[in-house]
Amino acid sequence: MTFEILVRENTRTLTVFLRSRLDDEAAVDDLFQETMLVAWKRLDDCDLSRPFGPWLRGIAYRLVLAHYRKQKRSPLPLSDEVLEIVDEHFEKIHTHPGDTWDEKIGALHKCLESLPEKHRTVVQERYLEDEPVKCVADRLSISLEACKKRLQRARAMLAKCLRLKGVLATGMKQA
Amino acid sequence: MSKDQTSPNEEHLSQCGEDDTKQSSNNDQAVAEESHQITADEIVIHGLLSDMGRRTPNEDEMRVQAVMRAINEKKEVKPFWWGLLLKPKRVALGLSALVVFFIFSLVIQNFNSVHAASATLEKIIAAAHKMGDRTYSIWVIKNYKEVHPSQRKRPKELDGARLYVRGHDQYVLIQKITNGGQRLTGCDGELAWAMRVDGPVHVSSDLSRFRGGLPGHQNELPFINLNGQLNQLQDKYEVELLHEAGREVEGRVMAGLLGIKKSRDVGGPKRIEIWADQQTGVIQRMIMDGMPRAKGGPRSLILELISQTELPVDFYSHTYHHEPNRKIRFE
Repeated sequence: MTFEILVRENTRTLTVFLRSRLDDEAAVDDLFQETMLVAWKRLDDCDLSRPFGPWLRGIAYRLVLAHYRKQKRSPLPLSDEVLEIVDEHFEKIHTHPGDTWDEKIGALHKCLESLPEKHRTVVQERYLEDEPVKCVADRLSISLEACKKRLQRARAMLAKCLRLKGVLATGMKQA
Repeated sequence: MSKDQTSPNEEHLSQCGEDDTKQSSNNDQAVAEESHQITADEIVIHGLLSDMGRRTPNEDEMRVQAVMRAINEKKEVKPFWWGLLLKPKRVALGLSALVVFFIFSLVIQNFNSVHAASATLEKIIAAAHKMGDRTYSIWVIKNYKEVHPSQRKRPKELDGARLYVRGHDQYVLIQKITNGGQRLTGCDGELAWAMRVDGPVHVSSDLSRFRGGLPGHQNELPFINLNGQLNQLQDKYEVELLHEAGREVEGRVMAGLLGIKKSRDVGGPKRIEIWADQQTGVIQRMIMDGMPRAKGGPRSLILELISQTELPVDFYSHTYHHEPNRKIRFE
């Protein structure tokens, strides 16, 4: 299997993973490239009989931490348990039926539509319009904390919906 | 990202910290597992939604191509060095001498080129500080993201926007929005302000307060601050003269500069191309490529000088742009 095939197969999930950890798109671009180059150099260390995605995200996660350190920001590292569940989710999406990424996560659109209006609005403003939380809060005339809570609740509802539709890993039995 | 904005990643991270503390104090396996699950769910959903909002057409293919190009470049370097090691000593010595000579020539050439580029940039900066009012048109060459019209509630159209600049801290940016109105953002050096034609005027003594809707603001390098960008070019970009420099446009000899960002930790566009009148140093055209895109928006912009007509003294104050009874909100 050539390395290019591995890159193609994992491009989208790696990008989504990086976007989950970084707000700066330039950093997403740079760390994507860096992750793939490190993976290429260390390919001999990778057990290709096992899924490539988790190994790749392991590299990416360390590069993300290094990136924050360089910026003199100190994010709390995620525990191994959390990273393991994140991997389970990504692998579940990766193996979900569908030829393209959009087909695999098509359920997300349906889940978004099913959100109560006030939650759908904050998600649309924050993510689809890429607005900072504070701007969303100002526009909706709610406090910053209330806005964050509403977003958090919306994300939890979306996770539950995607889990029910079989897109996310089941994990433990929680809502 | 400015401090007054909350990064979703920071939200996650702070939550993780609290969760971890809870786990250790409670020592409750079930609570810990649930906490891990919630945190992981949040991360993945945040990633999926962010990706949905920021993804650009053909992004995957461009990423794959970029990676494979970088890999091929690295592969090509290897045989050259291995080849040298395998040559007889005499050939290697001869080659080494040639390499040293070549490097020396490059250093000299580079020194001259860097010196010339630096001198041109200083001239442009000096001119920019002296200059009065300048009016630029802004054209978007390439956007990061095509937003579906149904999702576009408050578009901030930069394509066709007009930027008025005076001195180093006064500007007015007028953007058309798709509902037919206009959005005005400005700064008179003492107060920053923003308004729509039909809404209240938001005013703040924080001069960077209303740059939230503008690309590049989170990296302390708003593209509207032309002089700020020029100063940044001196320190944080590799600047070189463009080969086409010296060409004539409408009877003016043009000086061309290319700035490439030295590090990804530096804010601002990855590449800045400046064309200025060689005699006066007045910037005629500025092309910014690889704009920071934490907020989406344009990837590449052109600013083109369209006028140097003197504007009214109070043009950069918000009062010039609205009727006296408009509601004003101090923030």
